[in-house]
Amino acid sequence: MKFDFDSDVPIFLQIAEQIESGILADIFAEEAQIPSTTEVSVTYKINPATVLKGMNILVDEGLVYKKRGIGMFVASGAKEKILSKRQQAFFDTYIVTLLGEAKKLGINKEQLFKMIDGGMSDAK
Amino acid sequence: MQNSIEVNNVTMSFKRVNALKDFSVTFEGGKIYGLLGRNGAGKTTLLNVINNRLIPTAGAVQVDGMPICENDKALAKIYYIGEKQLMPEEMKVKNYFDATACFYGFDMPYANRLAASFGLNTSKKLKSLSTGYSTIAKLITALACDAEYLLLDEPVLGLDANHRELFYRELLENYAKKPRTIILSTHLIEEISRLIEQVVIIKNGTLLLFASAEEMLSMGYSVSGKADEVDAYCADKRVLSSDSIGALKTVCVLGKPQNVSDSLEVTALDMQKLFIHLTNN
Amino acid sequence: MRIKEMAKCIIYDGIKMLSVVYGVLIVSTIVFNILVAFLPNTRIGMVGFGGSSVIVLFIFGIIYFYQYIKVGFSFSISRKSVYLSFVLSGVVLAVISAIVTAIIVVIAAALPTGQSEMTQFFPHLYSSSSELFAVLASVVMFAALAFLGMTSGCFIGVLFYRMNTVQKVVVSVGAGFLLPMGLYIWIDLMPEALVQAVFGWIFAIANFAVVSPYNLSLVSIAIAVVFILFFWLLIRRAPVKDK
Repeated sequence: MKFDFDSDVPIFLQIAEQIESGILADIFAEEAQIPSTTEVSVTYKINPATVLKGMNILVDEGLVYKKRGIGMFVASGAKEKILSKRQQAFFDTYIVTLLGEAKKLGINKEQLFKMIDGGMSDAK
Repeated sequence: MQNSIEVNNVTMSFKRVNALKDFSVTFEGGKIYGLLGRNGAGKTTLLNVINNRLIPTAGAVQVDGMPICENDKALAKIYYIGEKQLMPEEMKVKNYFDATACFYGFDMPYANRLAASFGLNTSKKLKSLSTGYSTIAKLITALACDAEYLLLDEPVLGLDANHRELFYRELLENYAKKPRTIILSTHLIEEISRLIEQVVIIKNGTLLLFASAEEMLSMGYSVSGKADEVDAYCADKRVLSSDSIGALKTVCVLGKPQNVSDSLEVTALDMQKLFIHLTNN
Repeated sequence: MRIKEMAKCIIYDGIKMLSVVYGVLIVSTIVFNILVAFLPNTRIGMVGFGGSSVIVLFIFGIIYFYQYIKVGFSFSISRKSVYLSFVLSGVVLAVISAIVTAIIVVIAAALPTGQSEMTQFFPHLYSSSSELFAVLASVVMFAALAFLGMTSGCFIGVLFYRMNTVQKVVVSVGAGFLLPMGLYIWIDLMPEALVQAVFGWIFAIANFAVVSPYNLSLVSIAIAVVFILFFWLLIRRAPVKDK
């Protein structure tokens, strides 16, 4: 997990996002255990209450559940949920930024589509 | 109130100086607090009053609902480490651990493990320790004792970067395993800004700010970009500080980001910058 | 209980100091006795143990008060508990030193040279009563004196702890000089009758004290109580110090 302490996104949100990304990337498989609050806290020197707050967001969204005395586990169907959530947010997160950056660099719509086409064929 | 330290209208006057003026604050149990303030603001005085090392001129402190003044039952819940080493200098570190174990519940194997991690030779006399290792010896007694309230005054004084890092890890592990109230007083604001849950700022003997670390960090933000654009943006904002390198300018501002143009970059507020702004005269 | 723990530490340190001093005394007395054995008509017994324990505990009180008040602050121990630890330790150390002194003296009395401290003070006591009674009287007397030594040491200790540098210099340098001066001035200024009355009282107490070891013990304990009182007054709001 990587945190950007300079970002103006609060740390507890970053924690939730990072774990979501981990689930999406299959780093945390469904029904597998995610790092404990203590582990995250000690490794990144973040207050445990903050870490817990971030994890609880995931619990509230049904992406992660607690097993008493053992730890937190990825809920089944979590990956799907995160996928659709992020697909919906894709526009705000990336498209807006992309368009803004393109404008700054003076890239027009045609050039943009060409680039996207090229990028997608490269990816194949 | 149960499970808390309540400071009620404490005034502490010395001959010509009012170190604390009608000071009131409540430290709720189980949280890590950062006690911040400039040199001479009154941090150590406050901790000394809480710890019964100084008897306040006015006001009182209660721990778990019990008055602290000369009350051994309440005092047994507190362990304070300060700048000065008050134990006899001829004493060896391991005997210092033994002495602490006399008066508090003490995990000796844990203390010895910590000593090994830090590279502290427990057979050395306290007087032969460097500033850093003298601090480390005190830290270990704090971590290994079972007091419900830990008051750590400048706990990383003299520690090199590696040892500071190690200390923060050990502190968090200790806290995570068995949460208790920890009050950290330090000047290294950036280092502990994510470690602490709650911030307490003292200025000239009075309480300036009492907020969660999150609240404090969300009090403002940084904006950077071309100097004239930044200036335009900040024209109607409360500016905390500004730094320029050539035509690139970074400004710390209070409040929430509003309508920031794409040419400007918004980043998190530097807790230290906010602290400096709040405590400057 | 924190008082018990702290008292244990103080007593342990006290016994260490007493042991060292007693050890030195025993060795030097034995050496003297051996040297002197060759001279005719000289008797040297075991003396000085009772008196030295009083002095040892006085010095111990001064030095170790300073150490233990700081230990008390280190571990969030109330001043009240530190104070009571010292008083308790004073009693225990006084009794221990008195018993040890008595044992040494009894052993010494059995030796050929045969003289002991006890026969020097209150000689009339030893002629008219049993050995056991004499020993008991001495134990009580030495214990009371040792307790006085410790409590006065603690008082001096806390006094110096509370004083700032200027006061310390004035008291250290001035005590030997200002006290007699002050006394002379006071005697001059006060009405004759009052001065006579005060000195009358002092002599009365002194006369009372030298009648028997038990009287001396009573007077010693009374004076010790006065020191204990001032000890409390000075420690009860003592602040932690920079050093």
